[in-house]
Amino acid sequence: MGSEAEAADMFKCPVCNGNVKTGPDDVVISCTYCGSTSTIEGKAIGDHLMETAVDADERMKGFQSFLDKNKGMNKSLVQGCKVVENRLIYVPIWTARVKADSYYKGYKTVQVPVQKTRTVRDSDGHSRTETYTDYETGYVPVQDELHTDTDERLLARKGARFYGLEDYLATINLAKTIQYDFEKIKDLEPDLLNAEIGQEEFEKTVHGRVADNHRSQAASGLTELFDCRTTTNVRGTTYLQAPFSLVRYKFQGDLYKAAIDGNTGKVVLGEIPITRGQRIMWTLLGLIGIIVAGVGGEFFMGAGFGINALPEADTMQIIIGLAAMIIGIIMTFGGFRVLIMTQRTKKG
Amino acid sequence: MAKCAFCDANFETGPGDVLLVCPYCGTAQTTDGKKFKDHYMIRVHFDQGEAQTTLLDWVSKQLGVPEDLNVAAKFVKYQQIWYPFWISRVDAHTEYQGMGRDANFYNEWPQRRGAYKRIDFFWKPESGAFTRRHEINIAGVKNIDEDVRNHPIPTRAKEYFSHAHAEEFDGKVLHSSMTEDQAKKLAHQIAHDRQTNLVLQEVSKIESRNDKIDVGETFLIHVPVWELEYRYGNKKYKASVSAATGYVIESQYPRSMSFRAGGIGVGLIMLLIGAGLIMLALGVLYDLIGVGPYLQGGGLVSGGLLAIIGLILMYKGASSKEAKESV
Repeated sequence: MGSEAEAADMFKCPVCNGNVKTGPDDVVISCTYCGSTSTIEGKAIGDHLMETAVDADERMKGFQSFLDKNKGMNKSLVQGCKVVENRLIYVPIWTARVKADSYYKGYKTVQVPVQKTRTVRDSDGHSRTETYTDYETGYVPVQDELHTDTDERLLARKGARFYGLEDYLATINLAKTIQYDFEKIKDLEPDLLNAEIGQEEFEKTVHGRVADNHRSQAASGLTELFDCRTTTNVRGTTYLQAPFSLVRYKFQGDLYKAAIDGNTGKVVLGEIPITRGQRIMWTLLGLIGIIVAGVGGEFFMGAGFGINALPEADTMQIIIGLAAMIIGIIMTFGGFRVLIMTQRTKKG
Repeated sequence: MAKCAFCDANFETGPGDVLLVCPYCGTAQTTDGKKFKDHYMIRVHFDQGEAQTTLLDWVSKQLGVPEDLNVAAKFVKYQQIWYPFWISRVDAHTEYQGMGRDANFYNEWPQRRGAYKRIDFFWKPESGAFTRRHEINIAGVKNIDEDVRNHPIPTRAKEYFSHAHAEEFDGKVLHSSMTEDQAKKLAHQIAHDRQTNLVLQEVSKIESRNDKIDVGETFLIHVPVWELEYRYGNKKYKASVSAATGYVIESQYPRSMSFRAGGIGVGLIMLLIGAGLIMLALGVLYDLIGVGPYLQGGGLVSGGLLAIIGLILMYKGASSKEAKESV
């Protein structure tokens, strides 16, 4: 029982005539034999670049140096970890320069210091006037422009994302890309993913993304944004195939992962375990923080405030007290945060 | 009960199921027996054993999970469920006319140039257009878990649906309770609402609008998820693991008694010491122990910190939690 549904689509490569198995929604296809890339209609695509990739050993090296850099006092991390997955995939990426110009209008509020006078009665019953500073609301009209010219990238797969995607896209350096050449990566046996998002769709998507970014940037400093007009100009659209690898590793029986840029072999985003020893150290640090903050508070109060206030407050003492208090509070929260964290997330 | 229009087999359907997948020949069809072609799936890459190992390895790093979880957990339920999702591409172009807010400003503050004492809002007519492409993803079944629903569909290539593949793992393929037309209608509605939200950022009152909403290609995709349940001690914990990527979509997990006791105990002690220090600093204890306001600054600061941390630890010790793997 149970017969296969229709066989997957076959695409005939216009260059070498090979039959390429494609996914149902693929719109830009790289031939698995000769590597040439064309649209599903068999038309050549414009610029087609790729990043070269390093082999699994090189990626392991990059991964280990990432662990080494972030191991902290956990000396056994590099030796003790066991990699269970390290496969190379080539992901399809659209990239373009997007020039965007926005004109916006709105207002924000500020606090305006106003000198005022009031009548007070002193202990002898005499009235006198004194001046004091009050704050009143001021409304500031804002009319401004935003001009950006950015590289925008998009993973050319529908509704898809993977761990470390944003950081990975940001690391892609267009200057380091080369013309697509399948021969250079063939031996690494990568999984080549075809694009499901075509060029026109990509350009529409980045238009929307940049325009929405501008709007939120314009609105961020304002009490109310009245108007925001954005025009975008997408140019230099390029299809890029970029290597990516997700490493999963086990440490003391627990599972962690790291996203690796296949071009450099370096980690872009990864999880780092926290050992029991590290948790204890950080907790101690937190406890010390409580003491430091307390001593600082005592110093601060003793200097100029509270019951045992000195006639003339010692500025030095106030500053030291305040500084100790702040450092102590930061130490406390930093220390106890590590105690209750599952793992650390580190950028490469 | 429904009869497959292609292989004549009878198979079970639930109330409300309108797009059916025959468990024998795998053909997706409407209740009238029309074949539905745009039906895809994501292949399983993690079988039952791998999914269970991945789950336990991942869960065991969570805070306070007992150390023997890997060996002591017994799986009592494991089923592969294929969840249907409708994915539509919608091109939307909206031209609008409406009233937007604007303001005049009066009486500049002499102390701060550019700031005004009075603001006067008024309405002014505005018009414009928004062009957006939306990708809309609708769950094909009701009562779907929120986390499964929001889990991104994997990057891996989708393929034409093959029932044989689902059968390899005894997978249960859920019928969609939504037809293609309903899915498209809903996608249209969602795109319309998103456009409305965009327009409402620009104008406060829409007076007229002209939408061109074009629901483009729409397909049905089945995504495999392992629905697991394991027993640890005398409690059961549920988990969902993506069968395509091995991501833990969500999982309940046990916390060891020693972790709970430690969290609550240490937290309580810290809270008490903190409260004591604060009271000492405020001089509340004067009548009781005859010590006046003492350690005013240090007591307040340290006591406050101790109390806050104590409360957090007690909460961590007492709460039971679900964990999700961030993608």
